[in-house]
Amino acid sequence: MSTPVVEVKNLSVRFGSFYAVKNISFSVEKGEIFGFLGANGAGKTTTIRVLCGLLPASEGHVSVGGTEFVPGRENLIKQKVGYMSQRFTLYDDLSIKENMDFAAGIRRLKKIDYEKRRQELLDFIGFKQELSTVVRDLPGGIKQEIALCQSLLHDPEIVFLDEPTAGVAPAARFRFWQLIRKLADMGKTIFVTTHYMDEAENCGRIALMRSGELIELDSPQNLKAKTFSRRMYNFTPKGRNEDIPDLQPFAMWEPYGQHYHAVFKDDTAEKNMLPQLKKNFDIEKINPSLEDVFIRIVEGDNR
Amino acid sequence: MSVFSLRRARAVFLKEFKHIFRDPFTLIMALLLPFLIVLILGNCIEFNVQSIDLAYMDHDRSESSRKLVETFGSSDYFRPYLVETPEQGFADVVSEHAKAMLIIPPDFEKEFVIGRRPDVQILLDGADNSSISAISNYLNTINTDAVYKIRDIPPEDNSPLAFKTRYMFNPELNSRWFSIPGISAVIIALVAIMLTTLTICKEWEQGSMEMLLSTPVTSLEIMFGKLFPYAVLSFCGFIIVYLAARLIFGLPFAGSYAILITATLLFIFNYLALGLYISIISHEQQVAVQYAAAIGLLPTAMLSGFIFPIQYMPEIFQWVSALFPARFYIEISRDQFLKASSWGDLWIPFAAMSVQAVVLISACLWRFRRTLE
Repeated sequence: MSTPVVEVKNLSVRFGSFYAVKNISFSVEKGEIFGFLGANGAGKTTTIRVLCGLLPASEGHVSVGGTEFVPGRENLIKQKVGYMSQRFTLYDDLSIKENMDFAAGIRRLKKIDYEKRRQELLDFIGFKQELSTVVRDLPGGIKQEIALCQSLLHDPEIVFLDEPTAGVAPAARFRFWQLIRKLADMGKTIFVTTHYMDEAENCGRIALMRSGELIELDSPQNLKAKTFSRRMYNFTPKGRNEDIPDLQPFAMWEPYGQHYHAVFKDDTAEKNMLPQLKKNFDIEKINPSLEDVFIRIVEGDNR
Repeated sequence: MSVFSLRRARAVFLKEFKHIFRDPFTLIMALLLPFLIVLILGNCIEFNVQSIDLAYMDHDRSESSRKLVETFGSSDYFRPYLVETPEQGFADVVSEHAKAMLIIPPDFEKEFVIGRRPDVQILLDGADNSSISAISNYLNTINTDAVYKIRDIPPEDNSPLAFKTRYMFNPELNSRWFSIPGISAVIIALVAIMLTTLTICKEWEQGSMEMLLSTPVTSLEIMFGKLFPYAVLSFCGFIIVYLAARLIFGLPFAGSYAILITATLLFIFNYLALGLYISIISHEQQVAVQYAAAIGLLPTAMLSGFIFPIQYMPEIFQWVSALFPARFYIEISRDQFLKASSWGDLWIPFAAMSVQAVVLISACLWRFRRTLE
């Protein structure tokens, strides 16, 4: 394999005596969609800030696009990354063109290159409206797509998307992820955080963060297989029966809306209990979702 | 890797100009507010006291006593009116219908003619400190004039010394000539501090600062790009104040435009930097506005010599006032409108403001870097 686009070795970020990020290491390959998951305050945003050159690492090494992070020379990294966050995307009171002009200006893009690139990107997202449209008048999903274009104007090797679809309608989220997959196919590296587990399924690999530590890193399939070695069942209570069975034979029993997702401890428990439970529940075999994994790993131990 | 790229700084200030022109509030604040403040403060701040209502009791009712009252009336400073009883006059002073009361004794003319010095009583409203010293000053002048009028001969000059007073630079002692150059300082402070503070806090609040910092744009470029448009706006505010001073209030301008404009730009720069510093330490618009009012506006109005003369302050406050650029700017501004001193005469205020500018901008850069970490 070629050199990774992002390489993090023993990275720690400390604020006073508090470790926001504690000794994490990982690497991201070119063209990968790398999902970065964790509860709020788990250290996701801090890590992204280091990778974008906003924050110096307290300990450890970071390189992005083959460039080692050196304090004072952050700009070398900043030229190689695009950054888009759900907190802020575009200036509402400016038009699309003015926002793009601004981004091109602070990146010192050549006028010809910039205009060509802008058109390519707008074609890429299939944007047909006037460039003079003021951002305030755009629907949320379109605004997000334009912001994505803006972060790609300087043709970065990698884009960091910090919860890019927060607060966006489901249909628009779906469209946005189609774009992300297309970008990855084109060889761009995507580093994305999200709270939507259905979105995380699209990632090639997922890193799970908890309290500043990297606790899992694998593909969605492997994560599921690793976390749940046994078959998962979906329990739907029959009628108005709300009795919860004796949880002793279960390795996991999680409420899931009107249902329960459950895994037995061992074969004997499964064999013995299933017929009995069928009286009160409709039971079906299911494939665990990433949400199950997330609940199990990230929240399971310290609730 | 350049620390300062004009191209990037230009991108920032072009964007900022667009924000300004899309936001009527900013424009009103920057251009209309100075005009209103000049009009209001220019008209209200009046250190000269005129047309003082004076209740008088005339127990003598002679020609001489009438002439004394006439002298008061023809001075422009007083508007005498007759009251029938001392109680009525006293009640008028209490209710502020009159600022002072004059009581002429029964034998006023008789005593005057035989060369004794009749006692004339003046009651002043001591609760109103602001007009008292002015009134006492006028009384001396009126004393001399009245003697002349009653005797109909010029007063004998007993003094071996004769003071011939002439007021230089402001012959009529017009207090507006004194106050309006100071108002421009307050306005620039207001516009410069408030606008920069708000614009930068807005970037922090909406999270766009993070986006900016993820690009190669440097803090120096952000600062200059952000400050430049507001420097222009503040300078427009200054021009409005200058025009109002000359055209509406009839101020002379004796000095050099080069000196006044240099001082103004330096002063604007100081207050922009102060606004910037406030926005860096507070990050939130609401907090920042309060800081701006407390750090920026209060000292500018109170400790700059704009209202209260610095040389009469307790020494410690004189030192405190030297911390704020407004004191030095007002010194230069007043001087240039009325006196026209040269660069050499004004080197101290210029040097002081330059030092302040360097300190402020260094503090901003230092603080800005630290905030990011």
